[in-house]
Amino acid sequence: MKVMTKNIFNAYFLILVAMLFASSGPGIFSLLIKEMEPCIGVMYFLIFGGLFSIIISIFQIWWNKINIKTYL
Amino acid sequence: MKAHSATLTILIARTGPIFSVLLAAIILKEKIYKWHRLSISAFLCIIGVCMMTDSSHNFSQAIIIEPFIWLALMAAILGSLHTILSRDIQVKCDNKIPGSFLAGITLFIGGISIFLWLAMSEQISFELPTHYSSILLFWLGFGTIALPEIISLKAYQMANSLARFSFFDYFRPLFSISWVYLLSGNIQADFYQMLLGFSVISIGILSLNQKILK
Repeated sequence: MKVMTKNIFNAYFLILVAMLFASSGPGIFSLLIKEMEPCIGVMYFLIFGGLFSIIISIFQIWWNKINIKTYL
Repeated sequence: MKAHSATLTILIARTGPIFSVLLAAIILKEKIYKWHRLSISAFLCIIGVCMMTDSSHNFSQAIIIEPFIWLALMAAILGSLHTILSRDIQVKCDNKIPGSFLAGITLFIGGISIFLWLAMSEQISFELPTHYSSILLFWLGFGTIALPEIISLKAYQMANSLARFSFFDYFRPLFSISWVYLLSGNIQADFYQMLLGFSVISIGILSLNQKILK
């Protein structure tokens, strides 16, 4: 029970950190990149963010030596 | 009318967390008790966001006139579906295959879709970013999209629940305003209005506790 409560507390902390990172995008973009349309900026955000997520996931799969075929 | 519609569009896009809770109950089979308290919590959070974004306008007229509102609604639903499916992969693969894999693929497809849309429409001239901008965009993509996605999925895994954290999304406008204040030094909203909005959202989120989600 104590472990579960601790896990939930840590999870709340992680979510707040994630929100803090996620919400910084529009502000930084509008202040530092002035020559670009926001719509195009969002496109680059998504492409780069997506690529990073895929690369990190593939790295995680490789690092943990997970046999992906068993889950397909 | 255009400004009012823009505010309403933002507000509708903010209904995403509500869809996340609903989809978590339907797709992830998360047990949610006391729906009435959940509704009150959602209502308080939306009121809090309204207070921050200052929206006192005619809703019915805006819905008829502005088609982008429906796009915002679709974005809210698809955004929550994206998170739910990423979590679903995590659950089905016993947390061994990272849900961020699917998240990454969907984000990438989203980016490519915007690229195709821009390429086909002649409204916005498409141009490549400068060297400085591309480096910044690269790190912004990592820091504001990929990293939060991975951290959030880790949090869902730790607490074994997604619905519990959905309403935390309502803190985003406040965090965004705070970031702008930190970076530029000027606040783009009324301080007391923000404080009131924050308090209402906090009450809404705190009422979404273990008594609702088991």
